[in-house]
Amino acid sequence: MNSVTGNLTSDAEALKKLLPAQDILLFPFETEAGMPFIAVYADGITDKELLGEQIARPLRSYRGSVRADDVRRRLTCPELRPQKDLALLAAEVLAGNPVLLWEGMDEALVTGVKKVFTRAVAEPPTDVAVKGPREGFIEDLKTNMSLVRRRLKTPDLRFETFTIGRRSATSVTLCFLEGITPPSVVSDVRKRLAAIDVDVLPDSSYLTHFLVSRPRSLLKQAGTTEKPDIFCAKIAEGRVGILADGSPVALTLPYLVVEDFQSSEDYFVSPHRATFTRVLRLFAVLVAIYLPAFYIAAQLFKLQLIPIRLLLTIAGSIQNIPLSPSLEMLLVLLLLEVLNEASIRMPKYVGMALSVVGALVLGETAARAGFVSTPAIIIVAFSGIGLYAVPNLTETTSVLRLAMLLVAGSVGTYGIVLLTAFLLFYLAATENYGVPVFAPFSPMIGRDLRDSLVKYNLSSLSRRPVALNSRNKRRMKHG
Amino acid sequence: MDKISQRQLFFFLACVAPVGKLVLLPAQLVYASANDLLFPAAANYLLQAGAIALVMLAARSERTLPELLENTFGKIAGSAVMVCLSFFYFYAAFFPLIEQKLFVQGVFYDTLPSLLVFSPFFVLSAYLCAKPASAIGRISDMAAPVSVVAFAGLLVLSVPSADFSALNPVGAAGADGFLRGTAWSMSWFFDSALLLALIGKFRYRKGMVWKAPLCYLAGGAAVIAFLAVFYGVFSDIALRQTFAFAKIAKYFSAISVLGRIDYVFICLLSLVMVFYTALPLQAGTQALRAAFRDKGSPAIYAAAINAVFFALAVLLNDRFLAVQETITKTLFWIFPLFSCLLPAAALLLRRTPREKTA
Amino acid sequence: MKRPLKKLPSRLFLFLAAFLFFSFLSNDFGLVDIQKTAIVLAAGIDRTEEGYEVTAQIAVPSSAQGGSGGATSGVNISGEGETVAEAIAQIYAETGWVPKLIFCNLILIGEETAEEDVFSFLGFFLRNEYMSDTCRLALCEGKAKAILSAPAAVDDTSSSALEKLFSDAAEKSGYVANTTLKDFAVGYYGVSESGFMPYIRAMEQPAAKSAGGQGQEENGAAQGKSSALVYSADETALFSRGKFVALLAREETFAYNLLCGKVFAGSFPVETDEGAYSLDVLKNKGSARPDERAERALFSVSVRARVYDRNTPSGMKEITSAEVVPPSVAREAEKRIEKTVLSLWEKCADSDCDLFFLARQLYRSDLRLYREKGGLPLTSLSPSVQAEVVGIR
Repeated sequence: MNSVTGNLTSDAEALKKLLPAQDILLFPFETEAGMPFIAVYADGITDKELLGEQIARPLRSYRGSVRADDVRRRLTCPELRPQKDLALLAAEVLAGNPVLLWEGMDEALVTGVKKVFTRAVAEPPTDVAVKGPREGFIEDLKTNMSLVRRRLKTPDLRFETFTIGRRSATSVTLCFLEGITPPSVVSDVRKRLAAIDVDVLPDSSYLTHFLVSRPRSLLKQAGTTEKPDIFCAKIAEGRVGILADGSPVALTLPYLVVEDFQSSEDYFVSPHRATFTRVLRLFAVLVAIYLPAFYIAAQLFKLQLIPIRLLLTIAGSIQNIPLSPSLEMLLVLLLLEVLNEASIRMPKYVGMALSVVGALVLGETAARAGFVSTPAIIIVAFSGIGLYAVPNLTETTSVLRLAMLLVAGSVGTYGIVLLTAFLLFYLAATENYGVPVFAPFSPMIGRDLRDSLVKYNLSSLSRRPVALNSRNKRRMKHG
Repeated sequence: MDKISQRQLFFFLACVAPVGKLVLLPAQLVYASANDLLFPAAANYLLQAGAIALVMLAARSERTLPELLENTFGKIAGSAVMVCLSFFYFYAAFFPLIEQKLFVQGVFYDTLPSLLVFSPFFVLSAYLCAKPASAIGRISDMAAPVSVVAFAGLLVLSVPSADFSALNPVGAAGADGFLRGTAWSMSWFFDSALLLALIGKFRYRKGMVWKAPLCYLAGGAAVIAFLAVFYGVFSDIALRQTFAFAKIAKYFSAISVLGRIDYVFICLLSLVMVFYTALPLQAGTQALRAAFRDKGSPAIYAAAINAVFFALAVLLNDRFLAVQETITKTLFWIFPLFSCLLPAAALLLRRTPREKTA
Repeated sequence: MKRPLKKLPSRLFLFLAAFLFFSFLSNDFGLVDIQKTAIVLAAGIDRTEEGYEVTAQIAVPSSAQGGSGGATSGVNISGEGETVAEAIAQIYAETGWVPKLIFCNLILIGEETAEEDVFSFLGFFLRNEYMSDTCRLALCEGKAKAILSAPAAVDDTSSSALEKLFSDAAEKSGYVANTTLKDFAVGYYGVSESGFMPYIRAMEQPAAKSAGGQGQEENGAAQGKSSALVYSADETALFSRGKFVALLAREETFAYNLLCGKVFAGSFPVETDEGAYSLDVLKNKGSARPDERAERALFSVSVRARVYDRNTPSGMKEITSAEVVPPSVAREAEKRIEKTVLSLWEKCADSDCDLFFLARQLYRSDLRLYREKGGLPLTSLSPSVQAEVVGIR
């Protein structure tokens, strides 16, 4: 372990040797009494103005000893940490915190004057609420932590920060409420976070792979949100939350499938309305997944699924279509996915044009040219709309839709039944941190059903979800 | 932990087990007992309820069946009994399997499909066979409401078309018809044997000895109601109506306008039926594995057993009537032997190991 | 787990996915899809010397411009064979279309065909798992093929025109007695061994509509020369042991429907000394059953009605007050109903058609008596009719 020696020149050189990059700069200055200091900092991520104001200017008139405590007293910067280890000092410099070295002292001071580039806290585009808070997480970890702290002003709220990524050294914070989150979950997540060994951690979604028990599963296994109010509500239910520097998406664990059908708004409207919208969301997802599949299964294997008049209309429409019904549906579905993908990635002004082209080409011209039939387009359009009723599940549902289409086109309705059975069996058998992901439906937990597809009055939700095994069961006095 | 809860057990008895009795059993009962079909069904339900009570009594020991057998007969003999039991499960699994195959071919397709379309069932079944009892419990949790909704939906759609006077005259089939119906429908009643595989995997709680049979009888009441509606709808042509639950609701007046909306319920019940059909295979797989002292991965057992069953399904594809005759009319006595006598015998098994004598 | 075993699930998954995708693309499990399928809307059965001639009216969906579905017309294709199955197979062999019977909503039986037990061919439809037993049955004058092939005056296809005759609304008028394959089979296989179905007569409509497009052109055999047909179904064919044995006239059909309590919107002419009236039936109850000793057949009809005086045109006030049924009209109506029921019963008894399933009723209510009597010969029963007509107040 290389440490600071007290020889200013050699210490600065040693540090520079560890950090040979061009953007690592040395800022030498002296006190009026001639005592030399060097501030080592990373250009661009250090607030030079603060460095001058809070570090260099107070030290100009310094006439005290070389002792760190004396120097520290002189400085007006609130965040100061002594450190001897050169490697750790180098890491601090890279994090944007300048390191202050001076002659005759075998210890350096890490000064917290990093420059933070942040965008304003705004409503996240992926999680828009008509009613309720509109704040969203941003890419800065500290800001995100402050957004959480502002909502949970309790000493029980704990933040534990880990540095993950050999090269990115990304800060990842584990949040939980002491006494509410089961300690087994906290320690398990802690262990898994500590064991992560990756080069770079570009986003919180990378963490999911290391934190879930079935990383290769098609189905989602970690909750995600961009909204601090949802994040805090989930933590208050007994989950742990994970924030990663550089990512506006927070993770929550353990994950329950039902939580994606709940929206923050459900808690700000009447329970009847909330129940209705939840059932509607489920219906939309079912339509998205099953409609194209049943349409194909009916056409290929069981015409009786379609009423005769509708069947004759469909039969009339597909008469001159060169493709088989299944291939036609696959084609339209793939085109929809491509259009969707393209319109998300395109710049806004091109995206607009793209959606017009898509609508025109697919909806009108393709049908007129006899490439695809009108019913197929209508079915896919319904399915496409349904998919976005639960935005957090779109990745899973779009793949499931394709899988359902494949089994429907090859095995028919029975294939759909079997794949559905498999999905349900799989969900029933899957656990995450000891919590069954399909709770409260399987295993059936009567009390938790009150906030599942149906939503009871707030006064009926006086206890935390049983599925999460929270130590503190009650969250509200009976209303 | 491989445990199943009391609720899950009751859900299985009340909501999942009845689904297996809605396909070919009604027509079989009509064949044997004509309009008196309800009585043989009730008799079998009562028999099974008694057997379930015996299983519950045996479950008070909180030991699994392999443990009880080992304590009483020693390792080798215990394993031999488990192998026998697993063969019974495989035997019991066969008829529901064929039943489902015929059902699928008849109901989900407009023309007779290739046997290949049935093959994915074995993949799913293999997956389920590799799962422990706790997963079975959870799936029961999920299957129960699905079953209740679908069953109620079908009954609501079919009751208006039923003429319950068709069930008269009571007793027309006579004692002969009753006995024949009871015997020939025994192949559908082996739920107590399935429970036997679960003893020691659920905690016995006070009152289970009567609650469990009561739940089973509640399911039985639903099946009997279904049979009554079934005969009320079809009366003198009920004998021809195989795949009963897929046909019973099609006379609902709105169907001519909306199309076969009853298919929603049929598909839902089929979901539960898939689970119920795979259960004896799962029980057999677990019993066989227990006989070999849990050596080897359950996935390998599951894959091998399902591969054998797929081969059997292919081989016996065109011999359904012969298989049905053999299982339901000739070898029907095997079912009460394992599902009624074995639970009674299980009461005599030792809870603690026999002390070794010098 | 050993390394190869560890990778087994993912390899298996890949294999399954590839197999599934292949079968999806090949799209062939020996099944037929909508494009290769002939959706049979109605089937006509006629007797030939060798066996049967089956005429299938097949829906031809016409594609409108732009790929959206247009109007549907029908094309009639016939096949012959010793059995119905053979005749249908011939249709398949000759046209390449797989006839799909699942949507077949009407089986029209030629008159000659019904001289023998109709279940010699209806059994095929009843046993067919891929055919719905909710389809209507009807007997027709002459050949079923001729009726199905001729263009209909009121619809694109003859089958949909015929279907209109069997609608719920038509049934409520009381002038058609509908049955389905299932109901007919229940009667046939039950102890009564009887049944009924509407009897169709076709009449030429000289001023047939010229529009109707493709459908009429394709509608077949009679193309160009025959004019469009209109149909009546107010007579009812009676069957005993599967054979056509008697025909109920329009009034008897109405009386039968009254006895079944099915009439909710029928009208019923009554002539009295004071003049001619029309009874507008609003509600009706009826029953037919054997008495306790199975010696009499008890018929009871109760009608709630409004009356229209057909004698003199009146002003609005008079019309409103005249809706109340005068007692003399009610008595006359009752007499008329009783008379028609008796004539209906006579036909049933003479032809041994247990139209009211009296034998079945006795069997279900008193098995001992049923066995003692060796069934219930209809001629052994004396009829007793009670009719009640009540006007609105």
